[in-house]
Amino acid sequence: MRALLDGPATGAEIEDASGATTLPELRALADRCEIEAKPLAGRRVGVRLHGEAASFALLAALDALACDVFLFAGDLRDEAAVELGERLRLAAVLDADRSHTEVRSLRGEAPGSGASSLAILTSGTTGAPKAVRHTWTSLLRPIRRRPELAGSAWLLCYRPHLYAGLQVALQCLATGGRLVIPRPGAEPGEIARAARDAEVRFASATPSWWRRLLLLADPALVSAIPLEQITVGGECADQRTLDWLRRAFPAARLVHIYATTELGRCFSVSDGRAGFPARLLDAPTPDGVELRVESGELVVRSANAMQRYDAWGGARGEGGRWFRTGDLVERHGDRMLFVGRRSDLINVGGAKVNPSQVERAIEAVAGVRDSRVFPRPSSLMGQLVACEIAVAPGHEPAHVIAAVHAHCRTVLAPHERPRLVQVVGQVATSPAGKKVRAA
Amino acid sequence: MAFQRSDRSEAGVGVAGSAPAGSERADVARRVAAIFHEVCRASGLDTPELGADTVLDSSLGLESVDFAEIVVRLEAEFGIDPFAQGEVPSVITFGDLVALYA
Repeated sequence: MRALLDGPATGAEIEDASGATTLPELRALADRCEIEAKPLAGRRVGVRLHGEAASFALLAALDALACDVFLFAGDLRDEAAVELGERLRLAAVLDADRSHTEVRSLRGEAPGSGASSLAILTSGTTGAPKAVRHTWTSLLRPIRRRPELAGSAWLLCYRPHLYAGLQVALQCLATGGRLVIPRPGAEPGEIARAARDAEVRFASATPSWWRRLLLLADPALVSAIPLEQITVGGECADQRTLDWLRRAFPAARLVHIYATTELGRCFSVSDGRAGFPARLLDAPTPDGVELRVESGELVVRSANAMQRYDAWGGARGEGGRWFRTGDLVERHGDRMLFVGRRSDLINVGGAKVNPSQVERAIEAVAGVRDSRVFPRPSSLMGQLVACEIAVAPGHEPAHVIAAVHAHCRTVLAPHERPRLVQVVGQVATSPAGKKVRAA
Repeated sequence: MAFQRSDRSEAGVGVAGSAPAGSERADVARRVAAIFHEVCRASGLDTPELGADTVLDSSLGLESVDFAEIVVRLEAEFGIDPFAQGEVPSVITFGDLVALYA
């Protein structure tokens, strides 16, 4: 990361809510961060990563200091950041803005690895986050260096502390591009206007993000964005969304990408058709990615994969091995199509929701005897969280539903909250006595 | 914590600027507004006045997932999901939304 700033990527800059930061200014910010974070050299640190130039400068500084960095969401609350940092046995949690680096020291740190690394936190099937450790080499490996694109604008539509967002930022900076970061919480209309004004040529986002942009932003504004390449990832790219994007941006190259936090970038498809060519199963890609199908599930070995899970990160495993993706695929002629997830996680617009966690929240409400959380298909978000509730005797169902909504608002994020609540006599179970996860 | 009303009967309240009562479009607008307001209440938001020209943006406090919920509930109410097939329509105002179901 530090090498990116010191490299030949002239023209690179970051345009965030506070304005544009040029490459020399980024280097100066990184130098200052490096001095401020010097006592943490070689140690394990968390970083609250904001969509701001100062956050990326801090990452470059910590790379130069050979830290093991763990990426936290920029809006993670102080207490939650401390709790997570202590569980991961970090020395400190850092937060940089343009004027200084705030260091919050923690107790009980584990020793650093001695080499620069970056861990991305991902929610596992149990809902406990796993710390997926990459090296900067594995993160930068999929990046294409294309000097002819220097000065082009890239729109950051993913959260920067997750794999996809980091990839967009690194790709942009390595290419000498201008990284355009919308204000957090910006409306589609505002984003479209900013993208048009910044002359954005590259944009990468989830299908849900694209649908929302096309749905809610002024079509004249959207079509005025001079997009050359649209990349879709993070969720299954369905044919309807691909067709819609093709019509909205007839001149743009349309790419959908398959990547996971653990495996990194696996492959991309640019023929505008959902799924991927079955021939990718036959031989390793030039990128060093091998695919096969076992019991209908896509299994991948990737040269871009993580190094390993962090020892204190809630999971075990190394990179470089065959990895079960949980994505179910079916062959249709020369095409492999994604047909669902093996796991139970509900995917609301690219954000994963663990049904068990939602059930725990619902069942904390007085009058709820039992609950079953399951996905409800949504044309706009892919899936929404739905639930069945069995009400205890003596409780008025309408009041219990209202209390469930009220309680869930206080303990769950908007995408996690049960949206469609139905009262039943008994929740559906499988012959094995487990809750039925399908709708 | 106060219980919220999920009573549909009050749903027509707050629909401003719709066509004269009795017309089919006004009836659709009322039913769409009722569902809109139900979702607002479940999300702990104020129920906005919804006129044909009301712009459906973040000033209402709705997140994209709230909007997705409204569309799912409207499908249950009207039996169609205009966002599920073919050319997906552009919705800027409440009137645009009502027109999809009228």
